[in-house]
Amino acid sequence: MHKCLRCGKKFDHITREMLNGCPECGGKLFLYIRDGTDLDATELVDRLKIEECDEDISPDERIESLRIIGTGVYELNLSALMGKKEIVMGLKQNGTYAIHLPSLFAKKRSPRKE
Amino acid sequence: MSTRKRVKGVLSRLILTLLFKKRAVKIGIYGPPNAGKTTLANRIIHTFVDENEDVGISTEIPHETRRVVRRAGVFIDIKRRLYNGDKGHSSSPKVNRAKLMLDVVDTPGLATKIDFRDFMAYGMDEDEAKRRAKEATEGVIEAIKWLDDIDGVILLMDATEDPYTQTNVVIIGNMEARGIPIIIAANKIDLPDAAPQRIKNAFPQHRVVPVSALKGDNMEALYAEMARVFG
Repeated sequence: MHKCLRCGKKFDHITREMLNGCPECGGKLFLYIRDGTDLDATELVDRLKIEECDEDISPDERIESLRIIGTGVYELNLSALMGKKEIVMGLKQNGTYAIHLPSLFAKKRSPRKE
Repeated sequence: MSTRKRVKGVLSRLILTLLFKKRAVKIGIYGPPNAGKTTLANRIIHTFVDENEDVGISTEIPHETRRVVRRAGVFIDIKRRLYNGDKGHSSSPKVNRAKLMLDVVDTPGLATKIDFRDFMAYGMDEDEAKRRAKEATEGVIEAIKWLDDIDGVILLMDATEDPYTQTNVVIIGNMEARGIPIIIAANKIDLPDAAPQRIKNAFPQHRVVPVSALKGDNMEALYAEMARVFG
């Protein structure tokens, strides 16, 4: 049985509609419940430690080379910093970005066109 | 990075070497925080330049080095060090390659997350910890920018820690893509729980030299490897 973690509605089988979210509330988190166990939705949420958002974005897909989570807390994307010349800063987790223009313009001109 | 870029990197270094044979080789000491990078840089300077000269300060607090420090003109003479008094080996073909002019570049530790609260555990107040976190972040970016100007990398890892970290994997992958020669030094082998073999197993494609930068153990093997790889 699958239970929506947002509204608590239970589904016996996964349907095609559920791939886009819960048909009732649009929630995207489901918990598989084995037969014979039944738990309240809120209880389930309490039990689960859900990591803070962006779990569906892998580090390789992130555009920011540096994320400022708060004063004194920084997350560095080493592969982006090493692989790209420009520095893109992500501010907190609200989709706000800052592009460091000097690093972008400092890029050396390639002698030959690619 | 493409194979083309890699080949380009190797070729440009080859051309530079041929054109400027006497040029000092810039060697960057990279690695995660607290791996012992500054201790290693100091050890190299103490051995080949001046016993009283320090590149930087080593402490147990992570991110002690927050700016890239370059010490130019370090002449490594492996012949004298390795074959001292042993004239029977002086005709060995390795002897000619055992002299190396280096610029040693000590870099801030590369990390994927820097949190001021980690510094507060070492007794710093909040403002100081936040300032250090900011400087450490700037230091990581500066260290990475220096890679464009580096001829070879000594990647230092703490042999008591699990080597299979995102930081180590990213550094090695990037060095390979750029075609920068790399030596992995498994540091802190003087500690009882050091397991350099774990590093060898994790990165079998690279030569791993177990050392203790603090005690000076097996440093000559590292110098010989540096002369072989960077010379």
